[in-house]
Amino acid sequence: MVRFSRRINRDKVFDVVITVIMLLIALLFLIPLINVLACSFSSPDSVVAGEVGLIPVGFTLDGYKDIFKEESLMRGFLNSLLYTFLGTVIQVSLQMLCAYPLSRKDFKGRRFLNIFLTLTMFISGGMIPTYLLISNLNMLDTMWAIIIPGCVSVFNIIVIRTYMSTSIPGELQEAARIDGCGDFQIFLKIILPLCRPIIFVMVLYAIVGYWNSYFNSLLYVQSTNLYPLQRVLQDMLVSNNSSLGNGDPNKAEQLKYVTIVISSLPLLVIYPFFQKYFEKGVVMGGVKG
Amino acid sequence: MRKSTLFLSLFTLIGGCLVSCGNKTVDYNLDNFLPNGTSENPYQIVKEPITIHIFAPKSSGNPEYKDQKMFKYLSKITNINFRFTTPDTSAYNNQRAAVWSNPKNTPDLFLFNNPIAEQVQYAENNFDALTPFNKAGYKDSTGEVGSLIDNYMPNYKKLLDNNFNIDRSKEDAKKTATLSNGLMYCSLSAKDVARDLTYKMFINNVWIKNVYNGYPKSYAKTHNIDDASKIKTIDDYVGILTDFKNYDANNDGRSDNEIPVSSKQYEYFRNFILQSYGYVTNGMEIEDDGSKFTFVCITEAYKKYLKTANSMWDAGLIDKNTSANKTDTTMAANGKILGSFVAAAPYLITSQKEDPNNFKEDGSKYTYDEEYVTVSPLTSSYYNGPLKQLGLGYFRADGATIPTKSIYKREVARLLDIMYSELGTQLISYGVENEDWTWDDEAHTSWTFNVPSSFTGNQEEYRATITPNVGSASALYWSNDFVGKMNDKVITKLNEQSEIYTPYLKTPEPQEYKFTSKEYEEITTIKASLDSQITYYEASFIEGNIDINNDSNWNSYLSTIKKFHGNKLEDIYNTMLQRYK
Amino acid sequence: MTNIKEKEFNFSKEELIRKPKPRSLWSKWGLTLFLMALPTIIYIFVFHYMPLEGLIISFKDYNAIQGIWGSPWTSMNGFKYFYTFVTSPNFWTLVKNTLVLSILSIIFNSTLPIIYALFLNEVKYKWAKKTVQIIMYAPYFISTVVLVGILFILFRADTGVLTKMLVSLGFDSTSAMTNPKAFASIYVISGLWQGLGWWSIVYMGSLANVDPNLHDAAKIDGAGRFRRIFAVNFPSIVPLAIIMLIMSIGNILNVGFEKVYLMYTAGNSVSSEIISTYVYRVSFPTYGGIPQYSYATAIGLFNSVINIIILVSANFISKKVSDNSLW
Repeated sequence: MVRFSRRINRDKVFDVVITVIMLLIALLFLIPLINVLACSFSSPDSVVAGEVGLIPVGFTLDGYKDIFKEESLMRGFLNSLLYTFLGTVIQVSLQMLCAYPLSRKDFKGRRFLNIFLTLTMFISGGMIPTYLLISNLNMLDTMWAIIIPGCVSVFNIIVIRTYMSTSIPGELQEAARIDGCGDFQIFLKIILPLCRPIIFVMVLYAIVGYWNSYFNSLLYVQSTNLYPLQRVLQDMLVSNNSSLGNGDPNKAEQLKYVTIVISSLPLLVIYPFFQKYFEKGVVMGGVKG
Repeated sequence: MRKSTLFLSLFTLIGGCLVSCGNKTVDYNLDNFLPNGTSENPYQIVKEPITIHIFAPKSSGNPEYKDQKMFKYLSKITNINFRFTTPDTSAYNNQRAAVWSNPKNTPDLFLFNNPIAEQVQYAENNFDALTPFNKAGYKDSTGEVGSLIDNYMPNYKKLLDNNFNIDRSKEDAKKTATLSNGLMYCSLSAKDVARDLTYKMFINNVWIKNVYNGYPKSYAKTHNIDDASKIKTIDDYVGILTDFKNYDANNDGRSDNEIPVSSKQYEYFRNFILQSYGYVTNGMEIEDDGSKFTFVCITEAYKKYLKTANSMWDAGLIDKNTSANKTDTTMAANGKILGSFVAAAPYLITSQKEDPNNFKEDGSKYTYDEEYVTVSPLTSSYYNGPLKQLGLGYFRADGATIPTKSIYKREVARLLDIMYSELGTQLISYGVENEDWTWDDEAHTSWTFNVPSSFTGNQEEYRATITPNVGSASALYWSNDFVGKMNDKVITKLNEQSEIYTPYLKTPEPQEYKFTSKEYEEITTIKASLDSQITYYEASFIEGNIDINNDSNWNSYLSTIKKFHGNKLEDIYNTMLQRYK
Repeated sequence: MTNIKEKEFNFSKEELIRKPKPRSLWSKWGLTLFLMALPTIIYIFVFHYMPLEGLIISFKDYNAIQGIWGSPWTSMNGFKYFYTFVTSPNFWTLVKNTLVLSILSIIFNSTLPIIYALFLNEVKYKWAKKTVQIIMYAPYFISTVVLVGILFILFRADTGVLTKMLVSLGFDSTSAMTNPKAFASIYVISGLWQGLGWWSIVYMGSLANVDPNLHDAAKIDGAGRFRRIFAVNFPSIVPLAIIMLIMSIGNILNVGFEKVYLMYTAGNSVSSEIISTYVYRVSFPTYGGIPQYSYATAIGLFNSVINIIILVSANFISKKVSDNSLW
């Protein structure tokens, strides 16, 4: 009895210690983000002088007021919303539709399709041929050139397939078929509802991918009114092509922090809502990658 | 069986769709072309409007070409409509390669940034891709076109004949434009505005006066340097920078916050310091007598430069962020406290705010950018020959090319000629007379740029709404005759300060010399791996990570360069040079 | 969730056998299934297989006018560019830099998330676990451009927050971003900062599925917390870890271009030049020469072939040794 309670005590101590350690690590990981956030609320001069740590120095909201006057940034923001929405819908539907037949052991083309898909993970045609293709499809300088290339991930299809075949009992489908359901009805009525966690994971992947991507737009889009957010950001943060700060270098430097915050905010706000799903979905899908 | 048939037919279907992207041929009508304009409008090129497809590079920050005032105006006076393909720099090469595969995409005109290597490659292999500008009796599907320059480009012809009014001893326009087969496939881009012919080293002249007046032991005082114009040798320059470091040069009560010199990577800093040892760049450079090319980064002069830079680094004179600075703006983050830097203009680096601590003679405050002046090229104890300054060149054979597939060669040639005329030069530089700019007087000695007060950005941003010549694209003719007459306090001062460099300009790789396409290819391959070695060793030697004063280090550097085919590179250059002798 | 649904369709085996509904030819051949996969098949064919003809140019001297098929074959039976690459003076440097980054990434990215997951799993207070997880996921959602931007700011010489910290530890006050020795560490650590929380998700999930009876049994055997972590939890995630490891080994030469390219500075160039950035430099010469598309494609193809060989052998070894395999 005594031994047992001592064990409980030791367990308690262990619990507290491990919790504190993990919280500290998390805090450490948070520091850079807090620093950026603090800088975005600080006066330009103190930002440049490197005086800002975790608390804003010379607190000001000017940066946020000014940033909304940056037309290109706002347009990029709206464009990115549109691309992310359309891209996510297309990407997730294509992947789900393709993964289901692959998960069916009785699907005749399964082996072939598997190889057909997997091969593309390791070999690609290169820059020029892909470019020629996009050009010949007349997709250059349209939003489809941002959305379509790279929209289906073979890796994701495999993850979804695995999820379907490991976590949905085959008897269930068989039963439904006997009930008179066609393949597509089975997919709609049984598979999709049971796949909710993996669907949410895929939606999240798609959103992150589209929101943070800029390479397609760099190559295939030339009209400024089609630029997605990351492209505008690249001009501001990396190439320094933009007129940020109207010629005042310190102001420009501080506005960069504001742009970082504004552009990362949407994802940082939405992911907690997906959390319970991706924890469930990734696991089930990944178990037998 | 069925399934595979289905697959096959499907793929054929898709393939068919892709191939069948049809191309409409437009019939060419010679009668529609007005070689000499009309009596009311000498600039009109066609009776009925035609559409010309222009391919041009675009900086990502700039407005689209179709919205630029210059092209709207050109369209109005010539009766030609424009269609643009304007890839960003990152997609430029790809798209340039892609246009040839699809006739529908082949433009009528490649405007700006035509690589010389490409012209050579096409000419050598007889690809018949680009139209020669000077081939008598030239024919295409629309009949005899003849020499474009002689028949349709009087303004350009005159400029070529007069070498764009630039002293022939400096550079020769015709030689630059002509390939070894005697043909010109590209019209020139030419510039003779002093401020754009070189990179300029600026130094804070107010600081010099502050240390001269305030500190009797300073180098400035002991060597009697009270103005930037008295800096003659590299020792003077380093001495002044040391003063900046040691004393309160910017008069703000602290002696420790001045950064004597900064640069965007070591590139610009190096070119300036190296000049005092007899070379203007660390790459291939032709000797003054034109006898041979020297690979500067393996010379004794370069080693001297590294030693000087290393001692400057050790003395804390060089901004510690230099090799991490990727842009002007990262260098500018410390703008307020920089003593010296290389830039296009000081206001791009420092702010234009008032400096609270320094006063002009009339008691008013300086703005930060006003305090800087240019430093003239220097000499050293190692080199005291003629002064040298890196020249970016007056001419470049990259202005405009016309694909042979275009049926509108005559019209495009006329259009180009208008762009080289006085009107065109004004348009591409600052826009439409009396709308965007106005002459100040009858005699046309100066003019004023009219930036509407409602426009929120700076002058250059406004100019970008008029012309593509802001950012990466060059003007076809950036003429001092017009541009130099701009009435603007900052620009006028910048022009004056830049003129101290003009007599000493040296272009390390003169544009008149051309390689074969195989040589161009080899150079690209060698430089792709060699360049990062040179940059790495330069940074390491300067920052003391590798000791430059230890000869065995220097020798191992030399052997690395050799291993990376530095010698072969030198051979390629000199073999090429021999062909011109 | 699965269980509830299962009950709704609770048929006995006999029932299933007794009344089989005749299947139409359409469904027998799986045409519906085929139609469902069709959009993706078309997509993959168009965007992944059609560009493959471009690999031809690695054996040719590609030029834009003659196009992919018209350009002449290179010397050495078409293998000129492969030879050029393998004999180029920085071939081994490129391979070494690429391998250093990818091996370090593989080592840390496949072990630390496991350790992190094992310990996070021990946090019994729900609120704390949730908080830690939410925070640790956050960096994953930052884009690469922004990440590298932040790195340059944090490591600015003299004034950067991290530079100040390093100086107090006795390091130089120059920017670590220009130090070739620091490059790999910065690359890996910043990668971990972004991914540690995210990569651990898989392991967290499979730890949640560990049979509680096993723990109870271990407790009765007198195993302490640490013992149980390593005797019960750890073995349960090993198969998963091996699969993940093989996957990353299969991409050993595919170090992401974007981040390395953005982190490149003059000072760190000897460490930060990897195969993919080299390809970029060859395709887009700053010098204004002819873009070497053929050479670039040849290097890319070389890369892919090596990757496939490594993947297949890693899988083979794993199959022999641990019975875990990708296929």
